[in-house]
Amino acid sequence: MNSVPLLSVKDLEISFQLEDGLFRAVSELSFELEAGKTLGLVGESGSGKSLTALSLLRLIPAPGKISAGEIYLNGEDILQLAKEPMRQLRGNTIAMIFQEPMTALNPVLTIGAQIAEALLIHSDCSKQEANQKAISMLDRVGIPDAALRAQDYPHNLSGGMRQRAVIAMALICEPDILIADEATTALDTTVQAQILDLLIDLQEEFKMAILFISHNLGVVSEIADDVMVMYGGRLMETSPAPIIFEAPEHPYTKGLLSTLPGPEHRGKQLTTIEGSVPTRYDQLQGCRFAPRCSEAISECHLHDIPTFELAPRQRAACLKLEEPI
Amino acid sequence: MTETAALLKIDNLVKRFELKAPGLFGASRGTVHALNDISLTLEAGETLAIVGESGCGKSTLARVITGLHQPDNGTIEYRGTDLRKNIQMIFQDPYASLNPRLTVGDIISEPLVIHKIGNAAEKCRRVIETLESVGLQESDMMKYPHQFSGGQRQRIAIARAIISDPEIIIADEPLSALDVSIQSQIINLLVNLKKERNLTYLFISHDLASVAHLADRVIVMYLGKIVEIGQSESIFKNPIHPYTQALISAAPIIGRGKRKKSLLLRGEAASPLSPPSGCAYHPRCPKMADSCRETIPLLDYIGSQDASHLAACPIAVSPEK
Repeated sequence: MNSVPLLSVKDLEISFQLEDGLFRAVSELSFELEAGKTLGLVGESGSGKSLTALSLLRLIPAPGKISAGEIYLNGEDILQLAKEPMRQLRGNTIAMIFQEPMTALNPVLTIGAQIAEALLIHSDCSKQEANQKAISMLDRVGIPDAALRAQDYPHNLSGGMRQRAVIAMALICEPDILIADEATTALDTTVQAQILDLLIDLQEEFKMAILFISHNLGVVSEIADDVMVMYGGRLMETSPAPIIFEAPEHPYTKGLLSTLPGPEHRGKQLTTIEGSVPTRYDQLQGCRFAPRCSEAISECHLHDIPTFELAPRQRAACLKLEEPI
Repeated sequence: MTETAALLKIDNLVKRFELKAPGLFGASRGTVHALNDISLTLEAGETLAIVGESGCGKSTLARVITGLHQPDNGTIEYRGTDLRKNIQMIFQDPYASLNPRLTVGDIISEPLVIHKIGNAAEKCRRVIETLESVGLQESDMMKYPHQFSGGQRQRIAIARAIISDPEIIIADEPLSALDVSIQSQIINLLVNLKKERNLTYLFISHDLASVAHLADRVIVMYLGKIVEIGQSESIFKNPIHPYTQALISAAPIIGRGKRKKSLLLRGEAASPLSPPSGCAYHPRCPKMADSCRETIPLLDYIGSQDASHLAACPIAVSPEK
């Protein structure tokens, strides 16, 4: 792969100026997203995955900011862009869907109007054209009687239909990148599966890249080409999906996978990762996961752990992997 | 099923909620049929799981059994005396279920106060003992809920549920608000406490993986009705009802690779305000026959090795008809 990747994040750092000092929520994060592919981003609450997503849109809430690093979109560093070109990017080139569709929709505007709005902002089509496109997009995302539903307000729709409407809104400008932050988490199992099917279909049609953020490993395994695992604001491991679920390298990934319940060990004890995610993890010396890691050695607590390249598309940050394997 | 061992026997339970327009004399805007003729038994020492999607009535069932709602019809028979004292509940959100203004000691000892168990010294001893049995420390007694993480809060909620030595614990989605690495800790705690204290669990969840891990028997609900019931293994290996099949096919599985589109999934659950006629699942069902629109299906033996495995779908149970 010699060509420039669609999105390339280098040494990203996101920090918050708090009363008791600087809190580095995300540190030294590097990853790439290729056109038309899905990158799954996995982590527990407080791992920095949502901040990572927001940083791609430069929407980190104050007092937070991107304090270091570069974010290249088609080879151009978007952190250097002025306000207006950045605004043009949002929703047009990079679009985002959120966990709770009700909060992403404006309750006093019709569904159709909200979808058309993005078109009116980002393209020079007429109102009528925009409305027509909104209706055909609603139809495309599987909302029956799209022309009628476009007249509905968000509260008229069920949770699944609302999430379809949000997806329609995100895709109306045919973005190159779709960020889905826990987009199926609030949905029922059967609806979640249908939304995943829809995203996979739409990706094929629109050739967009998806950054799919979820705490649910199962859901990520069903949609991702590559998977990135974060903990304590740092990258722990990234691999092609089949590899990371078959043969994880990092103890945290291994731990996460081994804790999952299932029918195989019914009623037996599950493996656990003891303890919980510390709140001020950036103050830890060494590997962020070391205090909970069953394989940690004294050196793990001493200094930051570099990320080792294990194979193409496969990297992990664990001292155990320093030797060639 | 034999009539002897049931700890709890529930027959023909019906619960409706009247939706009223705002105002004192607001007109009725319809009726939610939350529970529609539910019958089940809970055997001593088992873990019975209830699965289903939002609006299927699983939480209402828990609330009716614990007495938080009065049923409109049907009976709940308890083998022992005083069900209220012997049943406790664990809720989904440990941030909402603990009073932020009470210390952990006060929260946990509340069931003892309400049921007038023990004097002050006895209460204190039991609080300490219970804290330790859920993996917390004596010193946590004086702290407030906000000083704990989500997983620890759920431990506090569990301590409150077990301190009065109940026979039955109803756990309503006790894992879904927790992080992945914390879920397994709480599952292990639930498994251990069940062994140590001879508990019987009614475990309500939409997460099939944890149900498959914990449950001896499984009940699948759809729009206020039981559509399938059976031994956990039998349900997961040989689901009969088209809804159960769709539910299981929809559950994400790790390592299966990218998902293939499932043909079993269609539409979304109707509102419990206006459930479809006949079999409530018929608008979404790939096996729908004309009769499904009119006839309300009854639970029937599926004729497999698990004699307790029943499904409410005449088409699936005896396809030749």
